[in-house]
Amino acid sequence: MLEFKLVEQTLDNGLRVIVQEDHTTPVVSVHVMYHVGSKHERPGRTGFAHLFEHLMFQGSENVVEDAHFKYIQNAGGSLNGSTWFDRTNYFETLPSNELELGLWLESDRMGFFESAITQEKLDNQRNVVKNERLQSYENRPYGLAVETILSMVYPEGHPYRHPTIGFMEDLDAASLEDVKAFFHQFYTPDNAVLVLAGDLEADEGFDLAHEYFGDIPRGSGALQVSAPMAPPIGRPRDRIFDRVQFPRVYIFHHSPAYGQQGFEEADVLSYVLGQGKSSRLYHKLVYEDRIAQDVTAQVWPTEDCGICFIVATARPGVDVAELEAKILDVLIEVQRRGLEHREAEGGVNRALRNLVAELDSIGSRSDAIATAATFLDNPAYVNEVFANIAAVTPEAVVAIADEWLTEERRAVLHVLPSEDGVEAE
Amino acid sequence: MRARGPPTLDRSRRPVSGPAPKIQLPRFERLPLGNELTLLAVRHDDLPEVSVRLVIPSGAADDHRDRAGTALLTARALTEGTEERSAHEVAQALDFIGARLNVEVTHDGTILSLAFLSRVFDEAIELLAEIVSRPAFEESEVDRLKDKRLDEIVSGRDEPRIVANLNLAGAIFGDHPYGLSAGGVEETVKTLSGADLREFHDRYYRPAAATLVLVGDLPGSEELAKRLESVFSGWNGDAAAQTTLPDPDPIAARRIWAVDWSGPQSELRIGGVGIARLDPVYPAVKVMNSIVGGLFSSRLNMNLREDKGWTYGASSRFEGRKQRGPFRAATAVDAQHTAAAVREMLSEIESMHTTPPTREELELARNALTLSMPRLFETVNQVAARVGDQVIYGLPEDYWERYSDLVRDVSAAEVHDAAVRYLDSDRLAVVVVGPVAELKEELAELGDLEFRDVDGRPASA
Repeated sequence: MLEFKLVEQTLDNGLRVIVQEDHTTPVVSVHVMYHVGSKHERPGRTGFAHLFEHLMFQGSENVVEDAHFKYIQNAGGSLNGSTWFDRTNYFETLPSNELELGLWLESDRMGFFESAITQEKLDNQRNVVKNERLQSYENRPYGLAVETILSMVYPEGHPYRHPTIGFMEDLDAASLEDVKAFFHQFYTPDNAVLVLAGDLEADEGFDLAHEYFGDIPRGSGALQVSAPMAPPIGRPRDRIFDRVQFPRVYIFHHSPAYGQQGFEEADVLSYVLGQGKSSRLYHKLVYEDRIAQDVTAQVWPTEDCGICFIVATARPGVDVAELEAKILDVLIEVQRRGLEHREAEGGVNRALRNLVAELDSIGSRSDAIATAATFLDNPAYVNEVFANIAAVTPEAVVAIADEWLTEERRAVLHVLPSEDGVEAE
Repeated sequence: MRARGPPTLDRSRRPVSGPAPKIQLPRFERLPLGNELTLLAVRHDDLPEVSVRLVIPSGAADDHRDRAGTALLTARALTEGTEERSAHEVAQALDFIGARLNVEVTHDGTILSLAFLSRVFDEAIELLAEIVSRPAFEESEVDRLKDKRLDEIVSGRDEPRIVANLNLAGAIFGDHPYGLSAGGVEETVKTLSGADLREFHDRYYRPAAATLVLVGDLPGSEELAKRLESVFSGWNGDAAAQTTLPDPDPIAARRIWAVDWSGPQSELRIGGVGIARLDPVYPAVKVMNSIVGGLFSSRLNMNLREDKGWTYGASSRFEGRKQRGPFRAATAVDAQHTAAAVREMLSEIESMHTTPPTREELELARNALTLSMPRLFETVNQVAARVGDQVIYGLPEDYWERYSDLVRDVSAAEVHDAAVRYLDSDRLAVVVVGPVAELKEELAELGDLEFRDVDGRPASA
């Protein structure tokens, strides 16, 4: 039903190049994904992968400071980067006649970054990132819930225990030497995937990739980290206080990792439980009992151990314990009584529609291809997902709920209101 | 194919651009329906999906002031039960086919967006027709929607960025409908009943006033018209008389609204009365805004983020509405730099008068606005949203095709004129959500200082 023709070549230096031609619109996407994320950070340097991502926009040997954004915007393009537990990506969408501009910028910072980095740039972007932490986490309601849960469910030393944004004191500690060492270790062609999608010819893409990236030396082998599934650690439960008016409950479950056995079933399960007004949790909590303002269920696309969150915010006067109990009742009901055929089919249909919409833009399509190549060594996974989801049965969804949504794999966090964000004496 | 010898690339300069691609913007086909519903179809069929926008050119600005929130609740109530189905049955039907319905109500209009896979075209369109033409507005569902909206309003007080936006609208527009949140406020939402929603629906949800935009993998024109004709045939009514909103008055003198907030960051806004969407000066204002705050490389962001490192980002935009809409510059800064950041923002805005755009700035702005066109019409959702905007504001059919030329023609002098008219720093409002009590003197130096609460009501210092 959905088939993107992917062609690929690996350069001598190990850079994997994948081209997906799409001539519908005269635009191209240039997407570089490095297999490095927050899970590769060493102790005392949380947030470093993301801080490093910021520095990659500050110029390289042939691209002067502040020029990167200007080149792209002058060409009518868009650009960004993002950091995740397992990977960091950089991407541009450009008019198709500016493909080489994207390749020039990406190859310059992959091969010729080091000479351009300065203490001043590091200090400036450190401040920017600290403000990002303030804006997106600390000064935002419920903004610290997820990092609290990570520290509850993953043991000391586990690669997923800390958030990608990192902690302030670690951001402060990052030095220029750290930047250079990180670059040498992880920002090498053999630790990256280049995806070119859109209005280009595959041969042209490979030739240009060779021309721009071919002379960048291979690395000495990036340290790869695998995050082991966390063992049950005593059904953790905690509460934090925040300057909010309504309590919220976060229910975490370990779940199948991205692209692994059971991942699509878990995805469909999240739709059946908490995406759509007829979904089990939304209907029960928001419509029938009217105790929640909203409730969602989602699975995160992580490489090693999967993450599933159910989150619900209480209506005025509702006790968070009641909210939690009702959610767990719904989970048990699904486990004991199963799902109606129509209900599971609806979950499948919503997941499929969402998938198609995601793959519509060449930017997010490139991201999907790069992720499949990086995490699974199988870019063609993007073509398999549709059929995989379409084949999910109600029984398979319930089996996933049975296997994963259990007490042993669960952690619960309550976020409670307080005037000043701390517990009242 | 190029030869694959050892690379001999000259990396020291930017690669030469290839010949600019021919841009084929989507043209829409206009199909007539018996009940005068306007139908615009854009075929864009590389993927098996459809994006639909049903556009009603009436929105929050059409609310009675003491019943603000009517337009939003009317739109939200459409899915909460029809003559044939309960709220749960509508939800089940939409969820079963995997369709995603989104309701957006602005001051200027109401847009129902529906996205689905093309294989469920008939079911999706039938559901859309049912909810838009035969909603039940049952009192218990309306009560639930009121509660939900009130919960949102109360939760918004926990979010400094929402508090700042709400205060800015009040500080710029005062009693004009644009001064009030498009979903109404606590006092007005509480008064609403099913009768208010029914009345709004009767008056404004009329096929002769509405437009249905369909983009994606569509049936052939004849077939499409036939199917839609039968699905929408039960929806009747002439176009309602459109109310014309008065133009908002510009701000008389610079005012500072200060909201006390003890967080690690301060949310800052500077705004004023901008332009209407149809104002011919729109392209010049877009170019001017790109230079001051519309792009990453704009003056505001380069100063506050890349030079000072006080923020994750600073930006600005002009929102053209049916009448003169807001200009808004926004940032969130480390609280210790609150007053200094306000001064820097004002100085960058004033710099648009005193420091004319360089040739480089002007070229960057024009390029970013024009060369981005292909990428802004890439997905079915983007195309449907753009066409939906054209409908609400009555932009000509070939507007986007002419847009590049309009922007290319903008001169440095026109940018300066636009700055003089719309960035007059004596006629701007400043909102600070942060540690304002301790900054009282510093802020008072910048304009008429008033303390406000999280809802924008007068507060004590």
